[in-house]
Amino acid sequence: MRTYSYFPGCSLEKMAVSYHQSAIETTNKMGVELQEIEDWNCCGATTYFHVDELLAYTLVARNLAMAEKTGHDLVSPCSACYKNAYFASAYLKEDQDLSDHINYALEQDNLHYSGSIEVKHLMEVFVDDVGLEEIKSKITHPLEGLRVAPYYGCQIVRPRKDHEDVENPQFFEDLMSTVGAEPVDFTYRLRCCGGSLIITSREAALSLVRDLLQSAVAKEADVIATACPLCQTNLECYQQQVNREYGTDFSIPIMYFTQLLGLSMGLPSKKLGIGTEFVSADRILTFVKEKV
Amino acid sequence: MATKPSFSEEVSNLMHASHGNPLRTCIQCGTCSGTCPVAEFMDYTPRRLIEMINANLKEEVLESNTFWYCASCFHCTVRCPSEIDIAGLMYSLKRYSIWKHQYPEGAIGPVFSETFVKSILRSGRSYEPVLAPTYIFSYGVREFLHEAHTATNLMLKGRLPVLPPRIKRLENFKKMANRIIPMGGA
Repeated sequence: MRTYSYFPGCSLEKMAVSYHQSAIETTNKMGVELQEIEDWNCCGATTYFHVDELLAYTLVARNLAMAEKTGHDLVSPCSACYKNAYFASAYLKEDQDLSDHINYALEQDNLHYSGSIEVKHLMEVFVDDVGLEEIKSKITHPLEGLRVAPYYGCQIVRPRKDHEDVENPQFFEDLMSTVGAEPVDFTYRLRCCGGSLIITSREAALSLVRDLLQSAVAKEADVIATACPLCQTNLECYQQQVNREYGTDFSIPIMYFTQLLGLSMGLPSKKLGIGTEFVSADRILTFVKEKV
Repeated sequence: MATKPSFSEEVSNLMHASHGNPLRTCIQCGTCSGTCPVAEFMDYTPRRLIEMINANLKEEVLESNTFWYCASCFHCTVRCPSEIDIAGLMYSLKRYSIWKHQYPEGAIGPVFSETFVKSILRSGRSYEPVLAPTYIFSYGVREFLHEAHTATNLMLKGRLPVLPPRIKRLENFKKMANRIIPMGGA
């Protein structure tokens, strides 16, 4: 049994509860245990870094320290939380002054982070740790004929962490092929969804959402798959606002990769949180076919 | 005699964790501006802003909306041939302008960011409804109605929290933050 320290992040508590449900269900099915970090706090999102960098890393370090106590690597399903945790951990490992300063603050909660664990995005757990072969063996209801636009977004791949391919990653496509779906190659698969600009610069964010939807629809995608709650919210909950603003008529479901994975493993749609969408995912369910 | 650092030097050294940012090595190739998905909304493109920083045009830089439009997608950062962390630069300019209380009139970003931080320090987790007043009043009637419609839908689908979440060891958490930024009685 593989076990991880699970950092759900604030979005997964409510706005993206379906991502949380489908993450738990699909990992269980793969023999992976996600142990939620006790008393975790907000990672600071992008916004905290606008105000104070040191405090932002301290917030992240508290979560890292609690994960380290369990001895398990930290896994986050949110791309922004993942990026924050990944870089906070890396900087704390390489910068003794930063580490001393932050650990001095962590003492107040009887915590210490020494940097002995790894930080992973939930998709890495599936693709790298579990592996596509193992996943394939669990697929009982392949999503044959389903055209999926695998939308990476930003922070799952950027900034660069090591020597990975940040311009042309393929792991999301590979995972979608593994569940039996057909990944479509769309222009904006790595472009930004607007993130928190949806609040601070609405016009700019809506134009990004429009471009993305357009790009996926042009390739006749049935669904856009995401790996981040903010991408999902912007693309889905603001789809109607885009339609009003630009006179378009987009109506494309936006689903978490874990929901598609879960369907292909024969998990009931309700357990995967399907049914709370603004844009109904009902027609996606018709692609779920039992293996003969 | 000690000389005051130039604006360019100040901004180059505004990042603790990644040990500064080599702004002076910018070759003005424009890859960042060509990559940025929101460049068309900015009053100066990222390339131009870096040149302005290097020319120490402090006032003009702080009054520009460029860095408030940065969504942190890091596309410019991974492409910069001079290895300047341009998205990181935008973060540091946001911090600088918040410290100096100097930002473009009507910008939602600074108020939103500060409210967000305060709300986290109060409860340990983020809670969308307390953030709405930081931006909703600057919207026009049409945007306001669209936003209200989206929020209502989220509520109906059970996707908006009713009560603010709160971590358990909140007192320790606040004391921890106090060791970084002393906040009086926080």
